[in-house]
Amino acid sequence: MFKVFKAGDFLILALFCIILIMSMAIYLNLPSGDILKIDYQNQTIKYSLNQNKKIKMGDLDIEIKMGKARVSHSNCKNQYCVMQGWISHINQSILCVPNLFKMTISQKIDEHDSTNY
Amino acid sequence: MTAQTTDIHIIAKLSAIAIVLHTAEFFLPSPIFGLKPGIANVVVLFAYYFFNLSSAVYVSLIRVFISSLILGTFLTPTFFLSFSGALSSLGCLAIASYFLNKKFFSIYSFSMLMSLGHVIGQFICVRLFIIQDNGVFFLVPIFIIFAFIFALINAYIVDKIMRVSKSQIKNDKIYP
Repeated sequence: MFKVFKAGDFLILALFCIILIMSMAIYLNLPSGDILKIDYQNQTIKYSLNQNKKIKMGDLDIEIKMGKARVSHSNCKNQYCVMQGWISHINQSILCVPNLFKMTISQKIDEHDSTNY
Repeated sequence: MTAQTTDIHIIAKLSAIAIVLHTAEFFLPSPIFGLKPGIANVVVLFAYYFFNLSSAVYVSLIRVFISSLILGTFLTPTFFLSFSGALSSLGCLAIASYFLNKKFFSIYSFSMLMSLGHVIGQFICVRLFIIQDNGVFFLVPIFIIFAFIFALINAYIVDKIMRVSKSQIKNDKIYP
């Protein structure tokens, strides 16, 4: 295949690789968030991620462990929310559709999370 | 456009091939939603290389509209994804054909630029209209890698077809 390449093709190939490496760098160096936003039963609750905490919400157990969070136990059938494992980067989220549950990680906003304590 | 009859014949034949390829490709399973080889772009590249840019534009847009009517996805999100990808890849092809000299850039670079434009256009469309969340961009590296691989494969196929059909096209055996 490389025999039919002309001179300019390597330029385009290099461009392609640069774009790929840039997107990979963005992908790998995502800033880790510090707020866990939980949408459950028509209300949004925010927790700080810099703590160790276990939260019980209905049939779901959520675990926060110094910068990352997961759903440790759920009563749903497929257990997709548990299998997602830990999340720590901004905009990562875990859904549990049977329980109408969503949790997302976001950056610190100026408002203080008074619901934490 | 004052198209001659031969031009219309060529566009119709090439779009028929492209529609068949696109429809066949729709039924292929894919691990990620929207990850497809894009084998119909072989025909678009072929049209661009053997005829001109306008016939490539015609073939691509006719392919998108007619195959969406056949598959029943006209005016659904799938159609808009396909349409935005086709538009942006054609835009990339137009820019590339204006700036790149065919002496130094072969079919491979045109194919790679088209696939890159396809991915970028689709992601802009998805981010603006379908999934309004920055989490969509997690998928960008995967799609770029596969776009690169499939672009090389498609360009290889077009290259092979060109080598076979160059003499026949000059003798007007395939096309009127």
